[in-house]
Amino acid sequence: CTPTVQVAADKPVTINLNVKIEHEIRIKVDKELDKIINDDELF
Amino acid sequence: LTLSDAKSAGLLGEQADGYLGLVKQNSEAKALMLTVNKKRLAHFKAIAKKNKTSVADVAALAGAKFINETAKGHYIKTSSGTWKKK
Amino acid sequence: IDSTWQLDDALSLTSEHLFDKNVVKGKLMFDNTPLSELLARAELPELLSLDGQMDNEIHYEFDLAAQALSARVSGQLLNGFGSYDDIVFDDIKGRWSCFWQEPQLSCEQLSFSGGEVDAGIDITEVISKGKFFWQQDNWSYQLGQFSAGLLGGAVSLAPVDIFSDQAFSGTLTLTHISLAELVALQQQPGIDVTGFLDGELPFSYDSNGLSIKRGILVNQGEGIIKVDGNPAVEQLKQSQPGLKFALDALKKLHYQHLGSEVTMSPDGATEIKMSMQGRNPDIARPIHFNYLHQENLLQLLRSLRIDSQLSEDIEQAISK
Repeated sequence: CTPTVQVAADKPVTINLNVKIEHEIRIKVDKELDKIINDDELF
Repeated sequence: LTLSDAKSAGLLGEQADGYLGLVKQNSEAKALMLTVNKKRLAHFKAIAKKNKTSVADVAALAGAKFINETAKGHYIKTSSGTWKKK
Repeated sequence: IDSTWQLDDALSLTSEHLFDKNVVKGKLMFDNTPLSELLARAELPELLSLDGQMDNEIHYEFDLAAQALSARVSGQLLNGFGSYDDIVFDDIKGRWSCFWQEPQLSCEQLSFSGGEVDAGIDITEVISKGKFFWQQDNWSYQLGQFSAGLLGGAVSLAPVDIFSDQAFSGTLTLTHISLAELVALQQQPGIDVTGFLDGELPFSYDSNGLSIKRGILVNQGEGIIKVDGNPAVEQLKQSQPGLKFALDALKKLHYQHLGSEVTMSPDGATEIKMSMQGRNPDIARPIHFNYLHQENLLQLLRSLRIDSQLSEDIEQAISK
């Protein structure tokens, strides 16, 4: 008899997948904003 | 009235949207705020155009940066909209 | 008295006036007025530009003694177009019927329809119906109906009152959203998904922007997920051989149940937790697939707008 396989067959395969997407616009703009911070008329 | 004087006197403060806000009613500080914000907007527009993104995105990034760089004792606007000394 | 005037080159106007004792009554018909002419006199938000052709019919009454003016205005906007920052919209139709009595303007009807908004995803057939009130610099829009088409389905909003400079909240209802179009936003090769989602997204809007808390999206019928030949997934299989069996199970997953929870903060940071139960025909055991997606949705939409703008520039360049 194959009950164990039967039990095994019902046990679900669980897949966990995490994806994080970073948009690179942020980095280029950051450098430009440094210029504003160093201008005491603006910051 | 220079910008740093207005900030140390607690008249102007930084907001999350990238622009200066009026902490206390003062017509001179308000006038200064309007001119500085207009200049900032011009810069945000140029940066947005150059990096092909939106002004709102640049201004939001600026807001986070400016609040972070604000000196101790100067004012910043909290997310609930109240002014708080850093 | 009947007259047709040409007020500075833009406003062409026909009017009839009647003097009786100390009240002047009359009718003014403005045809094909450029919206920008009218708005040039109003203070619009810095990043907003609006134009289009308007027709307006005004019935006014001016009481000379009381120096009081009241007027009934009804009109329509034919092809409204413009942009807000880098979001472009056009082909907007508007209709209104309002009553002006110093100092308040009240419109028992202010509605918009049609239109095409390129926000990174195409938003079409916007329908917005409501009542509008305006006095000095406060206004309110009692939104009775709002719906728009997007991602193969539609979004609608339950009636809500919106006041100038005041936070408001409500629920966005999504119907028949195509998973294929939703996934296509990521522009990732080797990922094909079929099926449709319905959802309720409770939101609140305040000075910081829009935030969504515990939005729920659920599948509408069965569908298939195929993750096969996606570079990132293939690389994951190489770097972590232990995951190969599980990731291979996603090559063909027939799902019966798909539920997801969505949260988004005003800066656009979005988290989508998706859980799927289904079967892969080549695997005896049932499959439970839990997927967590973290991304700044506003930046995704902006980069999609940039792509569509780039492709337009390229098309124009080619067609020159």
